[in-house]
Amino acid sequence: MTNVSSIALAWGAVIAVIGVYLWNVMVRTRTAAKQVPVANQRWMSTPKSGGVDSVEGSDT
Amino acid sequence: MNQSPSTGPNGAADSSDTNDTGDTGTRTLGVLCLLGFVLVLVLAFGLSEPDDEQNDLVRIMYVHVPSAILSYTGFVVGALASGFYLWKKSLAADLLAHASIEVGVLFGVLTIITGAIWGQPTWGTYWDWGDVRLVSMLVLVLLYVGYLALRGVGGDVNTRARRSAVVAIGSAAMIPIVRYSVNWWENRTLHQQASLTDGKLEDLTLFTLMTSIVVFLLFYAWLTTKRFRLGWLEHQVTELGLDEAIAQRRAEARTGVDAAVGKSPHSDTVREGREA
Amino acid sequence: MFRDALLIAEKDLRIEARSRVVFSQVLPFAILALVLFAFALNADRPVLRDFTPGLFWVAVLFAGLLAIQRTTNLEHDDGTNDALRLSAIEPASIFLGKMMAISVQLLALEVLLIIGVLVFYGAAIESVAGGALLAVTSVVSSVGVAAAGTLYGALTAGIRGRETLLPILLLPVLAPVLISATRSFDDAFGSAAVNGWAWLALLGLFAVVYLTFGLLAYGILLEES
Repeated sequence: MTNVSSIALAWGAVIAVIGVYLWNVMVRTRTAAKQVPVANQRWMSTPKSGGVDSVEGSDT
Repeated sequence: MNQSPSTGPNGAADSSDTNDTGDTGTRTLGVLCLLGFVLVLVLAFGLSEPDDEQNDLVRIMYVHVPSAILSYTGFVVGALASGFYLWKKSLAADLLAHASIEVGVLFGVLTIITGAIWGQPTWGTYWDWGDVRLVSMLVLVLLYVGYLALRGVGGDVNTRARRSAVVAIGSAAMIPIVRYSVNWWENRTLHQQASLTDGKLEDLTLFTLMTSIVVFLLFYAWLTTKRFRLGWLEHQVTELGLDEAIAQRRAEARTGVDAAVGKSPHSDTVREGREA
Repeated sequence: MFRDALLIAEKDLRIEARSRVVFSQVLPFAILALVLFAFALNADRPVLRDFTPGLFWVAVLFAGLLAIQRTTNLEHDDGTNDALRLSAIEPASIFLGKMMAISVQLLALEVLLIIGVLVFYGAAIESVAGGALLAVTSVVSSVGVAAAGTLYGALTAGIRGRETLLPILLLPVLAPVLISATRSFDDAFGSAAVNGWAWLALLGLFAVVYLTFGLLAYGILLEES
């Protein structure tokens, strides 16, 4: 394999893999966002009940 | 993000406003990353000269080395976040660990791929077991694939978080052990020995590599934030699903009791409400 | 703490003595692996002798995986995890006890397999020092494998698909053990000119790291039900 095609392959692989991953994250974000009320979507301002930070109250 | 109250009657969001999880911070970071990548491309293919020994192949290094550094960063941050989870039991830390390690595995795979592609013209083979860094990266990626598999099995959120945290910390403890054992295993390493420090690389080559590393680390921060918010949203969806299921069970129980007592009108409204 | 650990180890070993699962299923599996390796390498005695250390440790790891799975399923299937937690024994003692029980089983397995490779593969112990290296390496790797195995076994207990999850979690962790123990055996069998005792130090480091980590982390895993 020539140097040029090696370089193209390496950079192409990086761009392709990142692209596929980003696409996957985007699609999943859309799907999830449609099911969550806007009020709950501000990611750090979780209501204390039923949110991310509510572990203390659960039955552990 | 547009936070206007454009919600539907039942609190669910209108899709148009809520397609992404960006805010001013991540948008700025994202734009910075894009500009950085343009800069790296210009430096890597326009301005920097071929290396004395590696010729043009040094241009693969501009993605290979930053990928490796990003990958290790992802693993270490994942372990730190896991430790924080065990300390404070904050589920956000658990989700951050997941995001960070997933991004780390992604770039670990890219490190291996670009390393193999570089190896073919340089050593005449895609894979050489004598190359310590590639072999140990492979073992580490397999280790963290196990972590992702463990996260994939579902179950109780807190149980999963606790188990994952133990694995993330244990895997990070393996990083030096794997490096040492593989290093001793085959001492005839083919890798460029510490090419970053001994000044063998040309000035602009070194500058390009450093720029690329910085840009990749920025990209790591952006991608991990995005992935973290996705994990958080998906957690919200599961929680909502759970709440809904509980509400349904309660409604069913009430309908059953009401029907037995004979208050059929009330139970009808409940049923209608559920069907609506 | 140590007395409790001995109690747990005794319990696990007594269960094994009565059920003989490791003896009647895991050991035959390991011997089967040795036979299959011979077929795969075309029963070439010189080749088999040269690669004895690697083949031996691969067989031990796969058989050990089965033994670990057996011991952890024991606690989970019969719901004895809850009983153990109620017994007010510290999690660290439980970890230590189960680790010791698995180590003893692994060690027994290794002794029988060493006899196996001496007979089947024509490996030979060169000297007294070689024999000593063989013995110490076996003990230290058993402890290391058992420590990591006990921890990861408890981790996957009760998960759907744990039979597939445990290998993918545990085998990469044990990769350094495979490398170092193989190198150490290379020295003991004289199949490669390496310093086995240096590799033994790395094995020891692994065992210490996972023993410490297991003692600290086992309680976290037992919290759940």
